[in-house]
Amino acid sequence: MAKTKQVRLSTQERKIQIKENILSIIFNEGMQKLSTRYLAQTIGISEGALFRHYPSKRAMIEGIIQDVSDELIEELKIIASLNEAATSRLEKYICFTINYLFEKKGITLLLFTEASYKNEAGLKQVMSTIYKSQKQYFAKIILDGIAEGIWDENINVDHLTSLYMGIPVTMNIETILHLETFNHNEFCKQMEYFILKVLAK
Amino acid sequence: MDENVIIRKKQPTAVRRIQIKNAVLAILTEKGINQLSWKNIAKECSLSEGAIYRHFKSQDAILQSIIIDYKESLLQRLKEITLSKESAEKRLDKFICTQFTHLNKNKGLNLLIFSQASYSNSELLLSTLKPIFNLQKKYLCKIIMDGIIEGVWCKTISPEALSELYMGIPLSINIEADFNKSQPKDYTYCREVQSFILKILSK
Repeated sequence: MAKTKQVRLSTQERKIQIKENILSIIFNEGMQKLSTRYLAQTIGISEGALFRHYPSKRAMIEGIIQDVSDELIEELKIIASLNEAATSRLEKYICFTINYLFEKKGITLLLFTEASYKNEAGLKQVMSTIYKSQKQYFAKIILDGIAEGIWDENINVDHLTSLYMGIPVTMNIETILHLETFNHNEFCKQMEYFILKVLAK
Repeated sequence: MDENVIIRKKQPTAVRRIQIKNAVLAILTEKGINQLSWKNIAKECSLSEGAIYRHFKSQDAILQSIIIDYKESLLQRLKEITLSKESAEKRLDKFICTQFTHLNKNKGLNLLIFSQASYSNSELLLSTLKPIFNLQKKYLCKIIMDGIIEGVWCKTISPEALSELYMGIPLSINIEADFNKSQPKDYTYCREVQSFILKILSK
């Protein structure tokens, strides 16, 4: 009795485990390797058990993307509207994003390979929203800082936002190509410093 | 008219390989990477699947050959710019604009290939892409270092980190263009990027 309890995870825990394993397969072995059969094998459950939690692989992927909306995008929205100085929000914004994506390696890969690989309208729509929200909240912080009078008002906010959006992408490539030497804390500090320098009057 | 006749004749390997690569490029940029199959490639270049197989043993091998062409055309130029005798600021200007022009011409091709490489976790493609990415970073680092040594730029800037920031820009432009179904931001955007980089480098 006690023994079965040890391995028996709650539905919630099992779902988390499934999603974590998916991201790990994507990051370490490539999306192509991701079959429900292989996934079930890495978790140590049957494919049938897997399908009790999610009806399809597609549903699992959608679950992960939903997590990104709930855990990353929602949090970024909160950070952007905090009642704090723009500089402090900017720091939190950049570091939260980098830490989240570093913890959940495989997410960026999932987001941008799925988007360019599968020309699926529905999925692409959700990802486009995720991308645009990140830009929108970032731009809000920048505009607030300019309004506060601390940053350069001649900055083209749209272009700076595009520059910012390159950061998660470049981090993704760095972690794929040079994971051994990549230090995400250092990376985060450097990027924040650069953005602040662009913004300086 | 004559051209059509010639193409159907037996062609030297080099010509055939170019034909096949062009067919793959057309599929990648017009239809999307998920449409890349032996069947579609054969249809696109009017050759049999077997004939293609004689030139390339795998689809990854075709993509690899495309990456190598890319490397030769762009990296050679970036290297010349990096090693030229001009001031660091001038070289930075040329470096960024050359890359952006190339990017516009290639419609995000390198991103597509990178997607494919990470999708399949292809050792062949990743190991071909890695030095290209690293070299571009290395050249840019050199220009930044030179500028710091010249005394024109801020010496506390990490050339490595700034190159990383820079390398993300072309990619995010591609992704955005993909979402918006539009052409990437045009050539003028390179001026804006350059002004950001220069501001970061300023003392």
